[in-house]
Amino acid sequence: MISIRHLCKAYEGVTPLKDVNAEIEKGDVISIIGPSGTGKSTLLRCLNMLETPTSGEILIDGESITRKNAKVHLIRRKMGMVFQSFNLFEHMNIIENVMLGPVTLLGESRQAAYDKGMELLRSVGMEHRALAYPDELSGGQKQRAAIARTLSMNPEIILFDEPTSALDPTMVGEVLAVIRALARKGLTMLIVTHEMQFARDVSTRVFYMDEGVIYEQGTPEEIFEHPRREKTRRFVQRLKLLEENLNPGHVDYAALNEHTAQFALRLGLSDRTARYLQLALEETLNGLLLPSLSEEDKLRVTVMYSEKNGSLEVRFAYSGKPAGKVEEMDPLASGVLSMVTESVKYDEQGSTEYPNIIILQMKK
Amino acid sequence: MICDKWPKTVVRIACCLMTLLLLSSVMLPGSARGDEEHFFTSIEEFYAPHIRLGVQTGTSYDVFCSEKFPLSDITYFTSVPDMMLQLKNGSLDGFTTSEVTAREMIGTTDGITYLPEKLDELAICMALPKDDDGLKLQAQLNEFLTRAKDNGTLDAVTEAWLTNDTEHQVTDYQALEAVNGTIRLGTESAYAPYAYIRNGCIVGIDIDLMIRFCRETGYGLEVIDMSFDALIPSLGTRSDIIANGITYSDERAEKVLFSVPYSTEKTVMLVRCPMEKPDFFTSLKDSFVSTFIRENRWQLLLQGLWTTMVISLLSGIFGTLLGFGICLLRRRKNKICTAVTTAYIRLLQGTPIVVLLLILYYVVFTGPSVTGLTVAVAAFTMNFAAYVSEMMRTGIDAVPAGQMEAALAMGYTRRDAFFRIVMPQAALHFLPVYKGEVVSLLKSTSVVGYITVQDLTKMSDIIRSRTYDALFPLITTAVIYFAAAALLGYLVSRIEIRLKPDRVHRCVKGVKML
Repeated sequence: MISIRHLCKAYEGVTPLKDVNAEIEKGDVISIIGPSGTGKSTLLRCLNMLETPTSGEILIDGESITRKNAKVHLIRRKMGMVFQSFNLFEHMNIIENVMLGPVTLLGESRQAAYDKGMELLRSVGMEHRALAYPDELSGGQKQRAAIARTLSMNPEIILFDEPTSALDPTMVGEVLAVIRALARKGLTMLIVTHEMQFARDVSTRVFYMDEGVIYEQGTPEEIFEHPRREKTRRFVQRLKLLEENLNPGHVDYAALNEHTAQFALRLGLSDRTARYLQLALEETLNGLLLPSLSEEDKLRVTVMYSEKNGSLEVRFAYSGKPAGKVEEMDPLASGVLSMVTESVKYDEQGSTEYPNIIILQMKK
Repeated sequence: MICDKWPKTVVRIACCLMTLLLLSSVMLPGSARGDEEHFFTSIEEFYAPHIRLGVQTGTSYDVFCSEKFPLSDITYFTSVPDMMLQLKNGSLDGFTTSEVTAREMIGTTDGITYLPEKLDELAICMALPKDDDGLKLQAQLNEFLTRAKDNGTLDAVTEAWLTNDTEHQVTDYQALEAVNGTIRLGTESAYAPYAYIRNGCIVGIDIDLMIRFCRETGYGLEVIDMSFDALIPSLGTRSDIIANGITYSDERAEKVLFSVPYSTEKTVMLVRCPMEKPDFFTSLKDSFVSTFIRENRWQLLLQGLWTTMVISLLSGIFGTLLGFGICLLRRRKNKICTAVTTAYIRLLQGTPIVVLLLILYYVVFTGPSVTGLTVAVAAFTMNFAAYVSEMMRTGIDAVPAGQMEAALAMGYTRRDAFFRIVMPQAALHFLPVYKGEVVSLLKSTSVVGYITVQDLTKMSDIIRSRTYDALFPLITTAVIYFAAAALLGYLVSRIEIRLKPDRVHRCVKGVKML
């Protein structure tokens, strides 16, 4: 239904889409997820040419929309779009918004368009507000009306561009419910969203976008349960990282503590958690790693916090010979560590650069 | 809803009219002067310091007065009637004019006279452009004038106009047959008895003589009414001969060709004299009659209003269209388009409309085929377009980009999306400002008199020049402008009401609702 081939979109100084390739079949419901600024919305807007791609090709039903003389406005009629900011026509009431396309673009009679429009408004639970103007509606109501407007054109494909991002949390549910109902009807849909649970429930496939490409794609289960790639894993588990490369010969504890404190503050961790984190770092470095490492060895500390389940993990990766175990440290230091950590794991099969790994799982 | 609104508007207009009338009735007694008034009786008194003299710009009295009365304070006016008004209400002590004019004036208005001393004697001539055509015409004209002087025609004509002997006056210049072409005569119709408006027609000694001349030589005659200071610059481009009681001077002779004199002008000093004060209502009535009824002067106001409305409406419509075009050009992301349109807008916004009018009339469109009315419409169109395009641009920019995107995503072409979705919303943003701009366009057309167009203001000037009375012509003009502005504002409001979402009657047109 939609083929995206080597799609590239570059702005001056930034290239959100480097090389995007995808085949989308009829009936697919595809959620596009990924960190901000990775070109999810840009991809969607390229599909209906609201953004002109820099290079590459997009075929809709075998017809190129990127070709020079493509009848873009005709192809767009097959493809509805729902916007983050709703974009209802402010000078018309809701039913007129819904009737406009059918009457002026599809040549339907006003009566037929009205009847169909009211039917659509009923299906999104908005028929009682048919004569209201957009500025009289709540965000959720506006978005439902906008979906009805999109449906009035009988589209084969619907593009949802972060449909719930501008909504009050209390209104997200009503809009998602409408989109869920649509997904069950077999429409082809592409949804850019930050609602992970929703993406998981509703989609047939998930695109994880990063680095200007579709970084990983698969079924919701594959992406959310068994992500194959590191960045995907970090994203779906909502991992936040603090990474520090240290010089074993001279560790600047003041800087390390400062960075840790900032990291904790940014993520809203409690003061105690931050203090425990600093303790764990200090004791492990002092008591375990630094005595056995030489100045030429490499040492990298990664603190990982999962916003999804609240787990906090500290990972030391280093070169040189493996250091000892926590139990071998002096009793005071190992006491402190066992107080603040849940478990400690060791691994000697890391990367070639950093073969040895110690993982501290912090207490919650 | 509209029906409810009308009476309110009517009441509002009525209230304003009442206020204006009240104001004027307060002002009228005010125009009467204090009790201890001094009346000048001899020219010797004018040699004293700080005597207030009036001088019309562009006349030879300027140099004359400053040389003859070096201690006086001279104020400059653009027309004789203005000086007359100032003299009557005591702001001037006197002004010099020709005896013929002075006689005409004291015949039509009370409370003024002229001092018996003849201050100067000047030859009055017609003037022609300094070129081959001018030389040829000058020869014919001189021959005619010399003969007229010899056989007494000249004296008879002058006498007929000074004594208002209508039987011996010749006025129908439209009836002339243009066998050898048409002569364009430039004159200012505020200079009785040489040239002035009577019953809506321009008449006077100058016109009379020219008709006789044209009849003999087989020319047609077109009379172009312009302000006195525009007469000499107009020679050769907009007029072939100018005649307006113009006095000979060496300085002028450097620029134009003069005919032989057809009259001499004895310069006299016009001053106030004691008069019987009529009671308030009689003077009001007299003033009313002389402003509106006599010589069917109300027709002049109607003609003027028509001209004003034609200029306002045409330049309003053309200006809006042109402004829209400029706005569209400006929105294109093309450097040349942006540069050109921005320059246009800055230039037009930074030029006074009067200056633009004069440039267009005297510099750009100098050909005879372009009338003052056309130039006025062109100038106001250009000016209005500059403002309208900026207004529209801000209006369009105020519509969120998402509106255009939503329309495009539905499958509208860019043009359809613009006209169906963006423009109606932009219009709601800029129409309130636009309404004010239309009204100020109407008001600013009052300067077209500068380029010989006889609009409402010019017509009221012409009436003032005959009645030497400021009250009724000015108040009436103000009231008419006010009413016309209200009408234009109302028309724009109608568009606004049509576009505005109707939140009162919620309905969908053309649909049977459930």
